[in-house]
Amino acid sequence: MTGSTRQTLPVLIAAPIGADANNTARILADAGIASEICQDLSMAAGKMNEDCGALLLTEEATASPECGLVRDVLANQPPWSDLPIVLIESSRRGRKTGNAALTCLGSPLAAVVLERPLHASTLVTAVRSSLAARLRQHQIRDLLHERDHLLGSLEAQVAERTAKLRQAVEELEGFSYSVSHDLRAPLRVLDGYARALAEDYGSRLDSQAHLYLDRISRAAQRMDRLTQDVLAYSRVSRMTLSLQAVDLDGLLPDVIEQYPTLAPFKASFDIHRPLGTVLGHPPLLVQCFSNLLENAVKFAEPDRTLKVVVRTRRKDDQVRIIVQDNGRGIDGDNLERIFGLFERAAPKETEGTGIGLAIVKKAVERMGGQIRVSSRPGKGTEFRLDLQAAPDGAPPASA
Amino acid sequence: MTPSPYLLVAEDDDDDFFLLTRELSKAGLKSVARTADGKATLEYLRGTGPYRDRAKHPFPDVLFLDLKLPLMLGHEVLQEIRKEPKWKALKVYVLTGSDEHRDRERIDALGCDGYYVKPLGAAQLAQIFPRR
Repeated sequence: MTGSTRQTLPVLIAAPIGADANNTARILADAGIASEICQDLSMAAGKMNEDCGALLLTEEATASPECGLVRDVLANQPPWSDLPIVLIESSRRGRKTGNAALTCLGSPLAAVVLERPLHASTLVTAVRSSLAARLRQHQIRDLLHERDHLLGSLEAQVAERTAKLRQAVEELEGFSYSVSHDLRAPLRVLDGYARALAEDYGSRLDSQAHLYLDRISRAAQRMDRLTQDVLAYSRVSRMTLSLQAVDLDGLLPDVIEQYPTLAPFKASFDIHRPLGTVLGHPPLLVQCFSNLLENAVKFAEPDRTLKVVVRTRRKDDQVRIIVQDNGRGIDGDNLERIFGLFERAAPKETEGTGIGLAIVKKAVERMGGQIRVSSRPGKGTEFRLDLQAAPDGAPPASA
Repeated sequence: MTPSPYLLVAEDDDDDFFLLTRELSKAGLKSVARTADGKATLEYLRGTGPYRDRAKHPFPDVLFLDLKLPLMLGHEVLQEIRKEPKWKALKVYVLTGSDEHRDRERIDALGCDGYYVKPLGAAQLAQIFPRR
């Protein structure tokens, strides 16, 4: 790039006296420098484009009213460009007038003023150094172009990947919709026929056959719950959230009332009001409370009346929600595992899919909080959810 | 005693249809017609195509509408039903395989007499058809 650029950049020569222009052009040609003679400044202004190496002009030339044209071109160069000017001063009895001439050109910074009488070698040196500077400018221009090109392709790449990601999310949503409808359908049928068989032909079946039918039903129901829980987990993981002030005193009683698995145990839930307001997403909070309370019900100690205390503690801008039960408790070895997908710390015969607490953890994390657990086997378990407090004055939403 | 209502079940799945009619029949509801896709369901209601003969294909009192129907989805069928003022008396109960938020929102916007996740059991039927 650099070699060829150097050879092809011509120097524009603007001198009103033809002999001056021709002489200058010859001197430059002898030094291997290409040039182009312009009859006047208007022609020079027309040729001052990117591919011009420098503008060489005599002071006499700047006296023309067309000087303004050159000034305009110089003033409107692209950011990388500063066309070098070589100005040859006229000799007026030792008076230095070159700077005044430069003013006519708008005082360009990249300018050299040469005094007369002028040596050919001085001229060539000045022009060469101007052309070298111009070459650097062209290198900067090329780098800038390269940068713009890279930025452009980067933007295109980002746009392309965003589109792909969006498509993937849509496919995933379509997939989960199909899973939820189509994968569950055969399970419903399996369970339906097992029940129908037990009901319609029950009298002809012995107790062993009824046991088998019961097991078919239960396996189908379990698979159905698993499917639903996996879907809930994936929904919690990818749903779009907008955190808002949520009034827990409004939300929690609704959860207990509306969940058929919780409503019968209403008397066991001891809610210490006021619970206050957190910054959260109502559906995710419903998911957290329902899963935690259902867990407490599921793992109640059979010999004790279940008691679940729900309370909160405010610390700075955080609200800690504490859900404490007097159930069976969890063995220390299993405590870390309970938040993992498909992990179960309960005996095999206990109902559950091993996804509930993974959903709670994911939901809490998505609301910018964290969850911890401590437990004493045989005594009970305590879950602590740390969420952000709603800023004062924010209107609370309910589920 | 009021006469047994005439039911139309829009359901493409044979097993779901069998299990539903079994429950209906246990509840004493035996006048049941079936369409297996969305387009046929609208044809039935309009009395067009193969359903021209109203003596054979009476206009139903109640429609059980599955959401995931071939040719035309359940919510699209419901949309058409809502455009027809003369079908205002038709009771529409939506049945879905899975309680999906998006489905429910779409159906709620159109309005229906009930939204149930399959299978429909005796308890729900008692709710829909209180002591006739």
